[in-house]
Amino acid sequence: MVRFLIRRIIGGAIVVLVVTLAVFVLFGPVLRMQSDISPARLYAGKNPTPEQIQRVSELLGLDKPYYEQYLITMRRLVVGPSDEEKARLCPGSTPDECDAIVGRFGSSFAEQVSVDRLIWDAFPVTLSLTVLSAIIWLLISIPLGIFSAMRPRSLLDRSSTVFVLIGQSLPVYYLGLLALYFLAYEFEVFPPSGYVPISDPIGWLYHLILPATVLALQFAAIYVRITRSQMLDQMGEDYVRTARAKGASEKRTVVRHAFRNAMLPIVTMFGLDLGLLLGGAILIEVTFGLQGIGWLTVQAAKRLDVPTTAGIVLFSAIIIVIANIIVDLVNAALDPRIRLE
Amino acid sequence: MAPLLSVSGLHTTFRTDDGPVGAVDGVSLSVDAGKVLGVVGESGCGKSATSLSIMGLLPRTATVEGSIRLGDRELVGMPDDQLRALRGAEMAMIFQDPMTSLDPVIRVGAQLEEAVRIHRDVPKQEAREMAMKGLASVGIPSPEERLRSYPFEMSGGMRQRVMIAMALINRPRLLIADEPTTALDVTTQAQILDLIRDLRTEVDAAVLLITHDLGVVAEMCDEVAVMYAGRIVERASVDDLFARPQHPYTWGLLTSLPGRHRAGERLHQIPGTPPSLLNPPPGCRFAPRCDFVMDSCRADPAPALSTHDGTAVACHLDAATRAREGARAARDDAP
Amino acid sequence: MSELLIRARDVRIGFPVTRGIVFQREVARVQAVDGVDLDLHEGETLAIVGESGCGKTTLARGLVRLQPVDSGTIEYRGRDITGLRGRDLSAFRREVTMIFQDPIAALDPRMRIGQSVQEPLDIHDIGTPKERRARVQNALERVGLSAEHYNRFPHEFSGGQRQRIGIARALVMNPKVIVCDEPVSALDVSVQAQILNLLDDLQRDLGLAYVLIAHDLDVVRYLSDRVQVMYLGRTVEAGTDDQVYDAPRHPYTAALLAARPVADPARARTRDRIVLQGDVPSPIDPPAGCRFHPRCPMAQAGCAVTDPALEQDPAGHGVACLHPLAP
Repeated sequence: MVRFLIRRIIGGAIVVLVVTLAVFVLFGPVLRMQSDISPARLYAGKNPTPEQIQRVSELLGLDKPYYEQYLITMRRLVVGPSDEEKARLCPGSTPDECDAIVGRFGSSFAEQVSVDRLIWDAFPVTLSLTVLSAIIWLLISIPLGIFSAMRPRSLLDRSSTVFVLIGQSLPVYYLGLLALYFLAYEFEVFPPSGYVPISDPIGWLYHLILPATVLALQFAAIYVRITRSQMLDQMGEDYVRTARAKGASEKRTVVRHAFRNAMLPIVTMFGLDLGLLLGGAILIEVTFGLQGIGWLTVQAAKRLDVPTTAGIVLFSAIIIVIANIIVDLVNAALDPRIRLE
Repeated sequence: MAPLLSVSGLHTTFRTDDGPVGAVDGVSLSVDAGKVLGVVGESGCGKSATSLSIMGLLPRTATVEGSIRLGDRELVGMPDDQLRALRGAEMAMIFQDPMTSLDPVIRVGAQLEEAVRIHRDVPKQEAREMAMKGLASVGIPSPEERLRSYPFEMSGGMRQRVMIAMALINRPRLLIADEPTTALDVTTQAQILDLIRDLRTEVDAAVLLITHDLGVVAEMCDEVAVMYAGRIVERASVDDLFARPQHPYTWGLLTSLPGRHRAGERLHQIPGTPPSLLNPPPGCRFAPRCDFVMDSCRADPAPALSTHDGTAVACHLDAATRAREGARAARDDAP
Repeated sequence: MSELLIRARDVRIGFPVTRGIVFQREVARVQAVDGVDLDLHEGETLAIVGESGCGKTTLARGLVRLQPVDSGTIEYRGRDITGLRGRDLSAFRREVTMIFQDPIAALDPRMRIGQSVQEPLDIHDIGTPKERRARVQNALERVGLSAEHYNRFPHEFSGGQRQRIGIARALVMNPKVIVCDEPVSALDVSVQAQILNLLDDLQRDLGLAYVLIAHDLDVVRYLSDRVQVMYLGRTVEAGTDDQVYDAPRHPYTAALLAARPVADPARARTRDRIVLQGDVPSPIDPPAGCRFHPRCPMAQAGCAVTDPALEQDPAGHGVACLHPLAP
């Protein structure tokens, strides 16, 4: 088990390393090839003179060879910005002020703030939205999927098929706009936008419930379908027949035997979806004005804020790698064939 | 004494998109305690559907008519919860494929304990004790350690032993074994057949053995029912069946066994394939493949099972022909 | 004596056991076939018998080059085929074909039967389209199907008919040798007899040689001229049918023969039964000495140490055992 974990962590670290390399190449050397949007030019502000660009290049270290730039970037990412960098990038500030401006992921071009700070401000919003949404979609889809599988072609099964179709074919922003229009403007049941930190749980829930539900509906549709098909597969397995032959009740057969096995691929999918969403649910965050990672991504892209965009890509990659490792661990805990391999 | 299991006029029909399929069409049989009844036939003959009808394990698309009596209880039409209380307690079943018949993510011990605790309110410790004794009784070495194993850590033969231990853990009065050794290697098959034979005398259960293998029938059974296309065509004691087979289908089965032939000698073959049960032929269902077919065979009503000298056979052929051809098939079969 | 078609010597075929996700490394090798000899003459049937894990299917796949051979030689008509490539390999594959256990899995469900049977001709680019079609129809008729089946799909056929199609596909190349991997084990008894008779007829009419892979000893005896019994990657006994069946010398062969159920209740009750204990050990870590010794009812002290070689008596009956049964 420990070896299994170590192997997974090493594998994940390699993936992250590859991503850093890709991000560096894409946002550094590749960008530079198109001189009008080179990082230095972007940083230097509107209509810079060549001398200004030159100064910025030196300031950001863009005049150094690529490998050196990459090593500096990696060093900063792993151990944090060095004193020398701090001194260079925020001359005359106190250490605290400088921490807010220079971070592991670099500094934003658009604001006098570090990318770390931007991400850490946005992340709780995305995390809240994702977790609440995930709870809602699991609560809807798992029971619905199980019951549809137990009674195929029943009224419930047919209704759930309709639900799946609607959920999968309605774009989330359209559903979001409908919900906003009816529930926030026409009837004013929910607030139209904004985020309240979880320190005020009721306000938090009140502000998040609408976007989380809209997001959840789309995922619920997918999860109903996969739960149903997994359960149908498992219910046809020989060991389920064995459980029945032992005299196990239908509930016991379904919950203790069939669902436990059906869960394995669902857990895998769930972990990956969570990882993906934590990297930003762009459409829903923009629709509901939630300033999460997705919203930040859009902002950074609009303002050609290269370090922020690169930081988010890297951050999302790390989240997805972590999600993958957790999925593997949960699967190993659930499935002895993986654990004892 | 009334037989322990007595099935009469069993009809099992599956609803399909193409129409109803009569998988079992009027089957009657009975087994006494301590005896083994073999049900033999080829795939699709309804032998498995018969056993699943008895256990009440058919899918919802199936309807069962007729009578199935276990002791003095009628199982057809019995409410689900009562039937469930019998399954695994009074009657138990082992299946063909031990590789897939155990839950892959639950320890063997827990699966055995579950079989106990579904039917009896005993403390966990006692259930564990019974599980361990169960494993020991089917010849599994170091049973206490094995309780902690997962099925995938065991060989096919071991898993089938676990299945047998699980089926017998509540001392059922009826054991149904559906092709219990078909998926196993020859030497493992011999071990499992020995085990079933030993345990049968020990627990004194009635055994219904479903198989396609006449060798297994000869080794294991007291009585045999031969099924073809949903019906029993011949029912006899095992000695009579092999010495004086009465039905042309039985003759075909015996003479097509390669084991009784020398190289160079042609195997007897039954031409064609079994009929579709969606739209079975009228009259005797074996008529289209039968070497001895007569006009009356192709018309309804189909020949009914009638008993002579202890053997029941459903065939229009006259007794003299049956005796002559039966003797030939049996001789063919003798080494 | 008829021509020696296949001569295999000391064939070894293994599979790697790997560990690791990113950096896979081989931690062990399963020796599925571990030093097997084999001779096949023109027009004869050689049966390879054994239980699952004995390596018989791997050996069959090695013989037709579906599986690379680690070491040893396989000569077809005097020429080593283990290193053949390109045109030579293609020529070899025309002469040595294979039929499989599961005819359903071996046929493409979306291909018409005629196309499936014709595919080998297309691959090897044999004849004009018209000639190909004629050969396909000829092959279909040979296996007892008619030309009208040409345009049907596999799902329209029963198991026995599908196996006939598989045989037609192997026949269409006019091979010299067909390697049959459990050709009837998925079929019912009555249909099994049809296929066995068909294989027998084809051999007689076309002078084919068969390598027959099977676990059912009765099927084997019906078709075969010689038998080779395998256990854990080794040949433990080899000889003619009569030698092996009537006077087995290896305790494993004797146990296999005794274990098979006899379709005769009177004999079933009286005969001697040897029931082996335990299961076949893992080929990853085979027992030292004779591989059968942990399960052998007659094992003696030396059996755990010395690995016996296959030794032939003057009549050509070979056995790999330190203490063989009296002939």
